Amino acid sequence: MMHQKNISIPSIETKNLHYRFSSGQVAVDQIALSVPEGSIYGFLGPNGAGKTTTLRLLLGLLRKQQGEIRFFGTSFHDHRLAVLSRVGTMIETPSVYGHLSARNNLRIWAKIQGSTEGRINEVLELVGLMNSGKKKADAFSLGMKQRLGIAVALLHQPRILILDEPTNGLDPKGIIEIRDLLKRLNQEHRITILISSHILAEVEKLVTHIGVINHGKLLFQGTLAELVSKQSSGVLLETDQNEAAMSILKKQGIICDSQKAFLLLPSLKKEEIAALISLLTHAGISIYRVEPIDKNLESIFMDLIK
Amino acid sequence: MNFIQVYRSEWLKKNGSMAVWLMLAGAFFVPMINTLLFIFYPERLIPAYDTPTEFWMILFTRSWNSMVVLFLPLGLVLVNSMLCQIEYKNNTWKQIHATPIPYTTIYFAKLSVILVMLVQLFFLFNVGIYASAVIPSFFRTELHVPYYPIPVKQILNENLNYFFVALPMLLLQFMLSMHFRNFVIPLGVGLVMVVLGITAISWEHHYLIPSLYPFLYHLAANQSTTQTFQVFQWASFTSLSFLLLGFLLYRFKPNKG
Repeated sequence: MMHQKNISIPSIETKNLHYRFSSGQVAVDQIALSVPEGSIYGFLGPNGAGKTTTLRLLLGLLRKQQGEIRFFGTSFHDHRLAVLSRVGTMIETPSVYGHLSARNNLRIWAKIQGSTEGRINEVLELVGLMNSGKKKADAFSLGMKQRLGIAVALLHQPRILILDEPTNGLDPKGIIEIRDLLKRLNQEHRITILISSHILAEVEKLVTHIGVINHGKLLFQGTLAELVSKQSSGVLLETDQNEAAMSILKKQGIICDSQKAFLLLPSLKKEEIAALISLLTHAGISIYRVEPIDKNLESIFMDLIK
Repeated sequence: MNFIQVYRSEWLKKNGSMAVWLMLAGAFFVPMINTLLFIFYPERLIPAYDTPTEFWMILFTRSWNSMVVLFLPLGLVLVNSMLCQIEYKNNTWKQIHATPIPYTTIYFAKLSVILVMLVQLFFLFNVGIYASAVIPSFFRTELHVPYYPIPVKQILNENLNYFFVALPMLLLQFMLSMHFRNFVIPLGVGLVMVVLGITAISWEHHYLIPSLYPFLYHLAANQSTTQTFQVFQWASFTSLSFLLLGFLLYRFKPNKG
């Protein structure tokens, strides 16, 4: 039996999830994922970080070696079929039968899942493939294949969508379309989405929550705001006498880093910056540059995976 | 999950694939050759008119002569490879295994499609045999439409026997094609077995080569051999072994796409 809807229970949760390849390399190292219900969870990491392996473990495509996987608070191991009936997936490349049209591809999955011809029309419309006609999927562009893959995942009206790099190989227009589609599915249909990506700018504009993985370890997990707040921003200061400026700032209680030709100050208010400039100028120090540093997600991500 | 729904889904996948064309070619190739042979050399068919009650069985046996040695085992190798490659080639195993279908249903639905295709092949082959006796009479005046009674029961029985002894090869190839992503492996094993079978017919341990069973049955049925090989017993044993082993290999494969 599936658990009743409970807001406090994450849609997806893992504990101590661990996987080692036969070569001995640890691909997933004690990962504790927690994907809140109704969220769009960006699973970020560079290539080879362990994202796809984690997703494949979640779906039972790889045999779990250690740890626990729960969907809606229910053990995946004990209720595999019941869980999968509520999950839509697209792992790595879209699963598309090249010798069949988009509609016939969907009919294959519709027969298995008991979906109607009407639902096939709905998802074709939703992903913009209604006019693909009898064209075989082999002749589709990569973007069309990705959209068909998403249509397959959506066909049985899942509660959770697990998508592995769904915008891979898409042009900017395609990326925007997929992003808008996923936002719409999340907001209008309350589908929880777990999306893996290494395209940081893409994830930044889409997700509510984020998990950063590298070398199989989960380095961060939380909301976007939590991630940004964890990372320091500051003010870059360049003068003709950095050492003298540093000692004046120290007397004011401002500790800063000396970085070759400039100083890195902690985050300050506008008024504080103006007062500091005035102080340094009166001390005879010439100021060449004052620049606030706002770290974007990309630089935060790079710092995390260094 | 309903087995019939999954079976219908599997059936839909094969539409438009090479496997269907191969099945059609396999069913009609030998009858087509016979048709041409009788058009150009009517004297090859005329003697069969002398025994009207035996006419259809003579033609049936002659057609199976070529089928059992090469085309049937070869067809089983190729159709299995092609149908299972549909999933590997399109990277769809991962999607299938992420749907709420029991592994048993997936395995047996796919196997059922191949078995039904084999039934289709047998049916069309028999239609082809009939056509190979009728069509030449439209082109040659010395031939006529054979309005002889068709021994339906005997033909059906023989078809069932050929079907049964073809199962070990079908199940072996299905097991290999389901297990290996690289289609060269099942294809290579199958082709080697077919070629070996042809050369090893007089080998004392020929029962170790499943591709030979239809031929061995054919020889026994036509009293062309004195060997006492129990083809049905061996076919039952090897079929069950390959079915069980194939399912276990599939069920416990650690990487499911």
